[in-house]
Amino acid sequence: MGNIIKDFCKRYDILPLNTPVLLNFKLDGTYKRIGGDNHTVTLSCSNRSVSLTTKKVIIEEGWSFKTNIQSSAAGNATLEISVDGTINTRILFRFLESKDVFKKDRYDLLMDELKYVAPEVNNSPPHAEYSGNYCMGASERGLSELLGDTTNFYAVERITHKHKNSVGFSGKSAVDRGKKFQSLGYTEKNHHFKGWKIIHAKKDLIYNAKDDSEAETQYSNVKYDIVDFNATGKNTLTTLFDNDINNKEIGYHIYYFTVTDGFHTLLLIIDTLTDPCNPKYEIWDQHGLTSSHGLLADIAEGIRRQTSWTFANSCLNRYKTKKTKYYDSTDTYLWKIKQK
Amino acid sequence: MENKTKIRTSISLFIFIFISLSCNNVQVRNPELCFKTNEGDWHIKTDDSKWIKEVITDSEELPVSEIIDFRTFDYLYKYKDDSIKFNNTFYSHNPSKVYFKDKRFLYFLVNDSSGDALLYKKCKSNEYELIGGEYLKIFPNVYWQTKKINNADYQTFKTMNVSQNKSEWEITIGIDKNNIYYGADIITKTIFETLYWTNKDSLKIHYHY
Repeated sequence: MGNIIKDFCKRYDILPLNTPVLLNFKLDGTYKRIGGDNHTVTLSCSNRSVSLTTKKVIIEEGWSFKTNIQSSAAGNATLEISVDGTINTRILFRFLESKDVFKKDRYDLLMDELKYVAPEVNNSPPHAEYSGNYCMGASERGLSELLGDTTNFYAVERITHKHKNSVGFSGKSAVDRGKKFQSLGYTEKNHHFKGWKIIHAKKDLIYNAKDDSEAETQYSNVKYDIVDFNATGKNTLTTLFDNDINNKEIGYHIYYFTVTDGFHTLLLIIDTLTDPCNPKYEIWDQHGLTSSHGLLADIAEGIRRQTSWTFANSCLNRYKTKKTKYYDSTDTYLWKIKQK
Repeated sequence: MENKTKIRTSISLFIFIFISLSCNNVQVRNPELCFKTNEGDWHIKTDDSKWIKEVITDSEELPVSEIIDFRTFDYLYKYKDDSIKFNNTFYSHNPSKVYFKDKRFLYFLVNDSSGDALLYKKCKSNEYELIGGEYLKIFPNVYWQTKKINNADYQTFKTMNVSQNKSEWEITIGIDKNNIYYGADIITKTIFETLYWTNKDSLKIHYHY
């Protein structure tokens, strides 16, 4: 008699409430096309809050089977799988509902707003609402939808583009707004990351250009590699996100963040729900999806890219305004958003 | 006995698959786009989940199944030759969802003022030229994001990519012998220089500067 093989990774140990999650299993062994024996596999859970869509299958060795598991209450639950009446496997699941892990319906509202805003910003000509620098506006409109709060976040009606409240950005930076969200109880934690290294030789290609045109050309040449990690930066940043999402149920993690000390504001989304064993990240701004997206393992590189082009942009602006005695800070500030 | 059951099941399955494939089951190039309802009607589903039942042609509106070849119908950017011609990295990350084609025709997706999605059969699939960004030529007109550019000079119209402040992306602009275009609109040289960075020498090649 074969053993039951779990066809899913450790991230499935912690699951969200009221969300069906598909679990794949296999009965160990090799399928014999002719002459194989049938085995009765039963699945059960003593926790009455937990429901399973598959309770019994009759299969042969090497065959796969699956069940949806769902719980209406937080807590632990052991899934017991028996083969031919003998308990074969026990799997412990923990069901959680963390305020900083969002479900698909909330994530969809966020994405819907970002996908609405981007074409308006990229339109020709954009409506007056979208004509300025709209990174802070786009990010907050997304958060307003995510959190269902049209009072404390910048929020605008579609079609009419009328403001839903009096929130504005005059004299305020993304750091100010992040602190405001924190004071309102909408952040789980915040991070101030400084692990960058400016490549001064590349900065000086912009600073020492003979005219604006050459400085612009140099900007294009160095925009993605003018900033690197310092010796420990990449590890620190990767670990920071691992610590934030480990020991949480599968779902969506959302960050409001700003790069190059407030130069640009973006939203970071980590998705552990769609494919929990291969979580992914995306960084969005007012124009839509940025070039920073992919596997979670590469998230530090994605944040570096956004830091790099924005720092190069700030160097170019300094060159044009003849302020090259100094250069801007590359510090990154992140706020992990939570539902109150 | 068990083996006989298995063999019988396998034969039944084979016959079922054979009948399914041979009984008018249309193969679809992009199943995310083309759907057949239980009633047997075909629909096109847009990226923002709007359903389109009819294609607007020069003279009439016809059910999508009468015009569209579902085996080849897809977003324009999904065709490799066309995707290269967008010629701007922005569109690799944020693909254009307004142009479609099949083996016979090019189609424009337009949202009307009430937000409804309309699909137009625009020209034969060998009658258009994608010239960069979302600029597209169909003789004698030039279009941007399906909008016709008024007074654009078909012969001299070209595109180029320029950078802008506080954006990761370059933007594709249009240039003809008379004007510079941002999207479908003419912009003045002064505004252009305020908004975008470009190597002026390369701009001179395209535009009488």
